[in-house]
Amino acid sequence: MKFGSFLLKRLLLSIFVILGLSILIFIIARVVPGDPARMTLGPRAPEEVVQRLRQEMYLDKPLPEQYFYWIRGALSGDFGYSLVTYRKVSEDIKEYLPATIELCTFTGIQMVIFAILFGTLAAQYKDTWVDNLIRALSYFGIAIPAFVVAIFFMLLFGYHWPILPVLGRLSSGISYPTKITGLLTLDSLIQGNFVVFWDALKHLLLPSVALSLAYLFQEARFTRSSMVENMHKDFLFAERGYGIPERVIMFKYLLKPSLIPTVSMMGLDFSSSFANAFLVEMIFNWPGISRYAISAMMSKDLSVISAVIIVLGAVFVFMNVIVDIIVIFLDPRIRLSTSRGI
Amino acid sequence: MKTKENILLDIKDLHLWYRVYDGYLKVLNGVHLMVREGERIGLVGEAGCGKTTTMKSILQILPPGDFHIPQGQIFYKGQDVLKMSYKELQRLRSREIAMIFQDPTAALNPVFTIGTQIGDVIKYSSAFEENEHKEIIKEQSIKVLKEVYLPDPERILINYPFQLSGGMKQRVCIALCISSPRNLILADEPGTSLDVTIQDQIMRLLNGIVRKRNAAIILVTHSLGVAREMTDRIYVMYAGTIVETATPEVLFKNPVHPYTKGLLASVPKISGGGITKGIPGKLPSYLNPPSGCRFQPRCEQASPICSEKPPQLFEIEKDRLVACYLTQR
Amino acid sequence: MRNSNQHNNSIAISLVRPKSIFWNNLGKNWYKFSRNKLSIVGLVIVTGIIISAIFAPWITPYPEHAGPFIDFNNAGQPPSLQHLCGTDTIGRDIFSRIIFAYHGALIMAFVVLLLAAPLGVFLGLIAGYLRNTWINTVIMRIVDIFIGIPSLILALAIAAMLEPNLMNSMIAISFGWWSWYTRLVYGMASSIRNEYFVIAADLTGASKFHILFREILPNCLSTVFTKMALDIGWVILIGASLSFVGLGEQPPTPALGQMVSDGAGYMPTLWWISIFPSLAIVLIILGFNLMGDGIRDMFEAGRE
Repeated sequence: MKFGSFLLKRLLLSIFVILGLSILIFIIARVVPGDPARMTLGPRAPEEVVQRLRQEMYLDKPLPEQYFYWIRGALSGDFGYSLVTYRKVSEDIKEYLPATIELCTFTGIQMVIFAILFGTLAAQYKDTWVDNLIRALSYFGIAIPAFVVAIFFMLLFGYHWPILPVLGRLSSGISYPTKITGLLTLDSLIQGNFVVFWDALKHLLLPSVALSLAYLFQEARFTRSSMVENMHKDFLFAERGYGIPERVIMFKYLLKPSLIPTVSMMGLDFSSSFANAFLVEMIFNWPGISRYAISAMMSKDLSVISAVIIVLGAVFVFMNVIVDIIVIFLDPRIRLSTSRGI
Repeated sequence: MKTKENILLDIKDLHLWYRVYDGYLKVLNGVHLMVREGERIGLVGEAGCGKTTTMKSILQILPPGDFHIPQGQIFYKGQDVLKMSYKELQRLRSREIAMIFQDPTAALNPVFTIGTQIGDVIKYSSAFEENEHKEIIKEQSIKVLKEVYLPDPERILINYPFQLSGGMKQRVCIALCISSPRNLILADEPGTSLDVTIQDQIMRLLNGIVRKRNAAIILVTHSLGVAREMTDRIYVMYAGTIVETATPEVLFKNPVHPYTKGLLASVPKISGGGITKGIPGKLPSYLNPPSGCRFQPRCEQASPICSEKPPQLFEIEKDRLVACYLTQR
Repeated sequence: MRNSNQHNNSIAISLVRPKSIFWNNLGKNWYKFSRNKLSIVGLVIVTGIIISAIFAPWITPYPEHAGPFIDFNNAGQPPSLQHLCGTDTIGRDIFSRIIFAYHGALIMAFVVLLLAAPLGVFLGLIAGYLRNTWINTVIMRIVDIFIGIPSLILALAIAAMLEPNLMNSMIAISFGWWSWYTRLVYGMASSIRNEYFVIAADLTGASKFHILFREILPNCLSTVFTKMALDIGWVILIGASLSFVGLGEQPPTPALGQMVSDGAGYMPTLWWISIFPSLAIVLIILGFNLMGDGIRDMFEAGRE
C-alpha cells in the first residue's frame, strides 16, 4: 500500500526527530553550568554524600554513556526525580498531562469551529461590514498574547463580573470523579456525573478561550485568504456557469480546496497550544504540564525540563503526522502520488 | 429542419471596463453579436482582444468586483441577461447555455472526482428537476461520457482530474456542457492547450455533438482555418470591437475591413509565397484606447474621420456587417 | 513564480538586482502597500514606536525611572497628568518605562531576526541547491528536529538554562528560529533551481557561488523579507512571554512582559500597573502585524 509505506516513513522520521531532540536537550542540560547532584541535595550536604549521588547519577561518566542511561530510563518511563516535588517525574507527568490535554483539546475544538465559521463568513461577505468586522477582530486577536487575555479575564470575571470561575479545574467542594482518562469532562460524562461535568466545563471555558483567541483569528484570516484565492480560480466559474447553485459552490466546491492548507495550520497550532498553555495555566492556576515545566525551569530542575521537552516534543511531532494524514485524506493529489516519494 | 430565423442570442453594443491601478481598462468597446437557433458562429481575433471576456459576460461569470458595464445589453431569447435575477441566471446556466473553457485543467476542481462534478451538474440542472436519485445520475453521467467517446466511463467517474490526460479532460468538459440539453454552447478555444491532432479530434467531436443536438455554438478561436471549416458565420473581433462579420465563403473571398484583410494576408499559404506580410503595430492599450476606430493607428487606409468617432457596424448585405468608414461613404 | 517569469526573459547573464527593481517600482509598491489602509496605520504605529524608542532618554518624562529608582511617596498613583499611565509600587512612572521597554523589545526583535534569518537562508540555499547529497540530508534533518519543537518551549528551555538576561534570551529565541527560514528557502531554492535561467547559467559556466547568490537568492528575497516582517510581531510576543516569567531583561531594566507580571498581583485595585503594559504589548504587536501585512501585499501579487 502506497499509503502504508508513506505512513511508515513519516513515523520513522518522527522517531528520529524525537531522538535528535532528546540528544539536543540532553547536551544542553549537561553543558549548562551547575552541578545537578549538589543542587539536589542542597548547599549544606556533606561532600561525600554529594559525591555518592554524583556516582549514582552517572555524572562522572562520559557524556554518551550518560545519555545512554538516560534514554534507557526514559524509554521505560523513568525520567528521574524532580528537585521540586521530590516525586518521580513520570508520576508528575501522568498527573499533569491530562489537564493540559483537556485544555488544549477544548482550545482546539474552538479553534476549528470558529476559524472556519469566521473565515467562511468573511470570505463570503468579502468587503462588507461582516468581513471588515472579522478582519478588525482578527488583527486584535492576533496581537493580544494569551497571557494578556488571561489577565483581562481575571480582572473581568474574577472581580467585576464573577459569573465564570477563574481558578483551577473544579470549584472547591466538588470532588474529583474516579480517574479513567484524567480528562475531567470525559470521566464525569462516562460516570454520568453531570454536576462535575458542568463544573469542569465552566472552568475550562475561560482558559481555553484565552488560549484559542490568537490561533483562532489567525486561522480565520488564513481560511479567508485561502477561500478568496480559490474564489478566483477558473473551476469555480466553470461550475457556476454550469448552473450549480451558489450555496453548493460555497460550501462544497470552494470549502474543500480552501481547507486543505488551513488544516495543516490548525494542526500546528494545536500542538503549539500545548506550549503556549503554560502562561494561561499559570494565571488560571490550572494544574497542567506546562505550569509544571515552568516551575521546573525556574528551579533549573533539569530532569523535569528534559522530560517535559521530550514529552511535548513527542506530542508535537505526532500531531504533525496526524495532520499530514488528514491532509492526505483531503487532498487526492497528494494521496495518490505518494508513491513517488516525498 | 433547422429554423434559422429564431434569434437566440443578441448582444447589443456591449461595453465593459475593468478597474485597475491606473484607471479603467476599457476592454469591450461595442460588441455586437447575434446567434440564431442551431447556428454555428465563429468568433475570431488575436489573443487579448476580448473574446473570452465577451463569452464570460454572457453567462455573467466574470470575476466579481472590479468590472463595470457602462452600456450594452445581452438579449437571450428576448430577455436581457444583465438584468436577470439570480434564479433566472441559474436557469440560464443550467438549461440554456454552457461554456467550454480554454484550459480544461483549470476548469475542473482538482479535489473532487469527475463523477462528483458531473453528478452535481446533472443534479442541479433543472432539466432533471433536482433529481436526487444516485443511480439515475450515475447512468446519465456514463451516458454523457460515452457521447464524448471516452473509454471506460465507469473508471473515469472515480478518477480525479489530475489523473486524466489533457485530451480526456477536454472531453470531460464537453461532457459537462452537454449533460443536459442546451441550446447554446460557448466554446472558448477548445483544444488550444492540446496538441494539434487531439485538437482536431476535439473539434470534430464538438461539431458532431452540436449537429446532433441541434444546438447553436459560438466557437471562439484565433485560427482562421478552424473557423472556416466549422462555422456558418464568422465575427471578426479586434481590440474589444466587432469589426466585420460574414459567412466564411464571403469573408475569405472578399474581406472588406482592413484588419480582416491583414489577417487573411498573414496566414501563410502552403502553395508558397514566403513569409507573410503581417500587420505592423500591436494591440492598442486598453487603458488609453484611441478615440475613434481602435484599428486606426495600424490602418493603412485611415482617414481623419477614423480617429474622431468609432465607426458603427453597418450592414452592407444580409448578415454582412462591417464597422469601417471605408464602406460608409 | 511571478518573479521567475520576469527573469526567464533575460537568461544566463541575469544579474538581477532586486533592490533596484524595488526602488524603481517604488510608486507601484507603495500603491500596493497602501491599498489596505490598515497597513498604513501599522506603519504609523511602528514608526512612532521606533522613534520614541530611539529617543527614549530624551522624550520620556521620567527617563531615570527606567533604571534603579525608588520613590515610595509616589508609589501606586493612578493615571494622571503627571503620570500618564500611573506609577508602580516603587513609584516609577509606567509610561516612561513602557517606552524603554519598547526599546528592549525592538532590539530583541531585530537582533534575533538578524541572527536567525541570514543563517537560515544560507543553509536553506545550500540544502536546496545541493539536493541529493548528504549535505542536504543532514541539514534538513536537523531542521526537522528544530522545527519539531514549539519555538516558545525551546526558547524557554534554553533561556531557563542560561543566566537570565537580554542577550541570552535573544540567543534562546534565535536558537530555533533559523530553522523556519531554512525550510522556507529550501522549498523555494529546490524549485527555482529547475528554472531555465539557472540551468542556462550553469551551462555557461557560472560558479556555484554565482548561481546561488546571484540567480537563486534574489528570487527568494521578497518572500524572506515578507516573512521577516511578519515574524517581528511573533518574536516580540515570545520575548514578552519570556520576560513574563522572569527571563530576559532583568529588573530594574523594564521589559513589557515583566511589567505585566509585576502588576498581576495587584489586580484589581492597582489595575494600571498590568493593564497599560498589556496594552503596550498589544499595540506594538498589532503595529508590526499590520505593517507586515502591507509588506506582504507589496511583495506578493493578488492577495485578498
